[in-house]
Amino acid sequence: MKRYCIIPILIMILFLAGCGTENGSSSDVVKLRWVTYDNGSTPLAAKEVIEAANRVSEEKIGVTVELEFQPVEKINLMMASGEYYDMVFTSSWVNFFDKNASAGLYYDITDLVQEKTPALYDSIGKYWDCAKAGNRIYAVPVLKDMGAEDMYRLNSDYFEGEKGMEIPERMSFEDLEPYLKAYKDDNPDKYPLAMDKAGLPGYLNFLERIVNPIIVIPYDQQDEVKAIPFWECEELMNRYRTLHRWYKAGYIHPDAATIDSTAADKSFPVRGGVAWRGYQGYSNPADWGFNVKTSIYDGPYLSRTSEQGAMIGICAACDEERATACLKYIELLSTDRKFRDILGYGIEGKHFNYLENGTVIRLPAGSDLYNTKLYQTGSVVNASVESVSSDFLSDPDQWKAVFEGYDTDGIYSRTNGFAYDQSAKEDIIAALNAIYSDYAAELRTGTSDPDEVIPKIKERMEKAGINEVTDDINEQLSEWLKKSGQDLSEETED
Amino acid sequence: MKASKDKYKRIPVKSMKRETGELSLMSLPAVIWYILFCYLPLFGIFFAFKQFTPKPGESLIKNLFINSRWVGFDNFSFLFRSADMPKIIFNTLFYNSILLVLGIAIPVILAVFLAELHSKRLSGLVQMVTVLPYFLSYVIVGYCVYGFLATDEGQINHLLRLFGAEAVQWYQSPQYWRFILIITELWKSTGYTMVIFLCAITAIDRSLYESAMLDGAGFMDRVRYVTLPQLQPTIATIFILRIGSILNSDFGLFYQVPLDSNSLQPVTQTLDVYVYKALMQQANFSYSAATSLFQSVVGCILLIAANTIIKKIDADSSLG
Amino acid sequence: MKKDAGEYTGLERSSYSGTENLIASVIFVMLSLIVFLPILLVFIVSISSQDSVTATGYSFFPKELSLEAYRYLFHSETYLARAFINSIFITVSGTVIGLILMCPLAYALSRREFRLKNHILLFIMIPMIFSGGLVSSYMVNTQMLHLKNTYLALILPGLCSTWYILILRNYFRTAIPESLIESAKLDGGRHPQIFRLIVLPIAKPVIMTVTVFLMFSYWNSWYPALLYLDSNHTELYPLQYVLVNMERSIETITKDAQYMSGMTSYTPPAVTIRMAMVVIVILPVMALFPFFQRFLKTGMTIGAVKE
Repeated sequence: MKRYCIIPILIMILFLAGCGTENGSSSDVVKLRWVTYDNGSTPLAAKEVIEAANRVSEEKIGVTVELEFQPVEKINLMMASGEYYDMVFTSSWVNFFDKNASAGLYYDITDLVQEKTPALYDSIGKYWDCAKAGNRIYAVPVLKDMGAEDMYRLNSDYFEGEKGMEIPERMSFEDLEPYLKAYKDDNPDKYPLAMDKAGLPGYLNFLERIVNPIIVIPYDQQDEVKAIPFWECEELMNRYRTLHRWYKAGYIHPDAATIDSTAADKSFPVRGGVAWRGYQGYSNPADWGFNVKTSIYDGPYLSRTSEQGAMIGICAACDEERATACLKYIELLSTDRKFRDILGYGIEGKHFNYLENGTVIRLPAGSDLYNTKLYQTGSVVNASVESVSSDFLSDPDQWKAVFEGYDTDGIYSRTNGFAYDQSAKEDIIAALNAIYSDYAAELRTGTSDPDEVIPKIKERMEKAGINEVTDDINEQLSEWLKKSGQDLSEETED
Repeated sequence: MKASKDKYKRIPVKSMKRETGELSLMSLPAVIWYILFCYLPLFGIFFAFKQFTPKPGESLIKNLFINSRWVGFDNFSFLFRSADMPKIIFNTLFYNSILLVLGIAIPVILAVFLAELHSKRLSGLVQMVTVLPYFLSYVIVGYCVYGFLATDEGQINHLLRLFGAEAVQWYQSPQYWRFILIITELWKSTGYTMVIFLCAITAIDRSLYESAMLDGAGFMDRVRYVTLPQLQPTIATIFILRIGSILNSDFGLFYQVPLDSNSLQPVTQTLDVYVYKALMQQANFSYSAATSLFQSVVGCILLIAANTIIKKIDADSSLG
Repeated sequence: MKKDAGEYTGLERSSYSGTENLIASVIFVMLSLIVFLPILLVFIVSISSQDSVTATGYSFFPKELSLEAYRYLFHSETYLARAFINSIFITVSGTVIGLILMCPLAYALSRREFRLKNHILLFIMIPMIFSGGLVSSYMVNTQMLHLKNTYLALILPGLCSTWYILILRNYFRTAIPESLIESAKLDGGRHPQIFRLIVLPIAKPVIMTVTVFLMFSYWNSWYPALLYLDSNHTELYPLQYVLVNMERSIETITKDAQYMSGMTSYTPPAVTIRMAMVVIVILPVMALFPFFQRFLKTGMTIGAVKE
């Protein structure tokens, strides 16, 4: 047995020898390793597109990238194993920004970005807030749809044409009921509201979710800003009750809580959606076989969660030169439209073409081999807008209107900039997540009766210690409010 | 058996040394593989006691021992934050012990009967068909099960309606699922285990059967006095190894096959499912390390216990 | 005797009478049918049209047949052809190297005169229970062994399995007559020779069994590709990973149809594609099995060897 003691020691020695850092640096051109989220699939033409982009960026700023599209598992693993990278995709939903930033994994770019890349700094403006942790900036937010507008998508041929009902531009969550009823009366065997186990897209967006989605701060809290367990939010409870009513009335598929996706069945007359104004992806009749009209029921809500939809973090291990190169590169993506379109859509003439009004249409090779989403590769706003087809054109300036809309109609979270440091309560949160997922799918699809289920959830979560977490959040929150109270009032004056 | 033991004692020391040398040399490549791919990564066990926060670009040693804080047994606490843990452990043990028994007994019985079929072509066909489910992933198995159990379009509800019975909302009825899950797992794994046993049957010395037949032994006698004793080492190996993973449950079976239906949670919540649900949002590798260490330690204790007991009964069947 | 051995896979002389055999056969046929039903369902769904699946669910009697799923999977042939060749290369080399590593070790463990036997047994048992987990093996494989973006990353980590080593060892112990090895030793045979010339031919059934399962696990594996190959090395992707990728991207497309920024006008038939993928995975197994059955038969001549 004694012999076996040698093995661990040997292993350790081997390790000391084997594990080092690779930090390839070359002479003039800085080559950056940029890891981004793959959104589910590898774009097969990535290599040639990146080469094309590198030719441009090398000439303009002397920086090239090795861009890798990685699945979530892989990004998590990379972060957990301390692997070296220069830039990485980070957000509120993949590769969590708040957690990593407070752990010190990202480069503090607060001063560097103002000094070296002022154009980039100006372009982001007030949205820098969401990239702050403890008042320092740790990532570059990708400008895209920063707020969420939740809508119903209705078959207007049926409702307006056949039934003579009117589809208003906005309605409340419950206002959908007559439409569902009308369809159900005509088609008793069918289920009018498309619903899968993920629930109605975006139905939670009216809450700032601190511990997603268990502890929340409603936007419309009157006096004191306070985090509460989700069951104390009356509006949310009412939504669950409404959904349950719809489920019982047969508007929702009985197996909804176990269905993965309803995308294949195009016959649903009502679907939910999350988008921004001017978005046309829902309305192309060629996609659906009928005309679609959208009706907004929520939003636009701007919260830390929604603004953190996509960001680029720079590795803390970078030296200043490399960090500057990263920023320069991001700046180029945010200011040079032609260059931006390469990483966004591929090679012109091969993967996409420009249309006359300045929008972009993907060619078959593009949608086959380089069908990435814009947010994966940097600024969305600076890229050309995509049209669905050459006779269904988008507005090339749609983003201007969208951002103006945020300024005028946007409902802002009062706690943007507050990042909850959950490290002390992580074990409870893990237990809460497990409990929540025992009920979530049936709750959000209306399968279960909230008045029956919520007391059970409440009991279990309280046993697991939810109150400890809520208190902890509120303590941190009031501290943050005290500290930033001044900053906030200054900002509103601006 | 005695004779061979005596023979073994008679081997001269010198030749034994030489033979051990030869045999060591033959094992060397695999041993090296084990060191590289199994023993080197073992340092991951430390994660269970650390709040592992590696800094990119720094050496592993530094990340593991300097950048990460010791937290003692804190990482295990999330397991016991949930008041349901006794129920979760019960579920895990319940399914594993039933599958431990049925998952060995049924394949052995089938293998014994199948080996005697006259037509070997048929026997081969049966093997091929029954082993196929082993090659399906649980996601797919989940779809198949859904094909049978869906409320509106499921085959079983079709049948029920045909006979005038009320359709059942299967995914909302936990009372059936202990049974359904066990059947599903048996459906998936029986063929595979059976092939392993059939293969072991081919190893049995023919003369044993012949002498049994000369003694006028019938089918059951042959099974009892020849086949089963000869299969004993293989049965014991499978048994011991499965006991070692008694707290591990197949995540696919308990999460993907019931399509994560909330109503079924009381009967599908096993340890791995709980951990998946708890960590789905967080990707906390220290917690996963703590869980798997917990499972390993329990499994290890049981494995050693089982091996000791088996050693007492039949030394030849035990693992060393 | 010899002739019988050629005909029979199981025991030379069955103790079933004619009727017993008939009953057993019928039972086994029925059992196989029941086991096969879900697989048949997979196959039928894979050749059903998407509309038929949405209309009638997963049905044995689809309203309409369609090969769209297969057409979708094979639409980029050159890329798939490369992936197919990769997969074959990885499967064959992984299986062969795996056997080369495992069989000699299993043989050594089956020999009573091997003095390190129990130590090595313990040595290979420990990893079966304790493992360092994903993060640490990822660190070792990428930062120490530098396997990233190489075929080796897909082959090496799956080579050995304690489980198969023990199966092989048990077989060697029961099937190979002690007297045979003793006499070979008296003739001056060394262990490597004995292993190669005597043990291997006798142990064909178990080796073929392990081969089939090992081959399949390589053929079907894609997780190492996800971990160790990045998006700039698509030329190394094995077939399974390409398929998984397609499936994931279809999933994304169908999810994006609800969330923003989906600009796709074509929704591929997700369900039927998934089933078609299973068929593609299973077909080689079905094709290989009869071949493997032949080797089970040759194993039956042990009795003859002994005499």
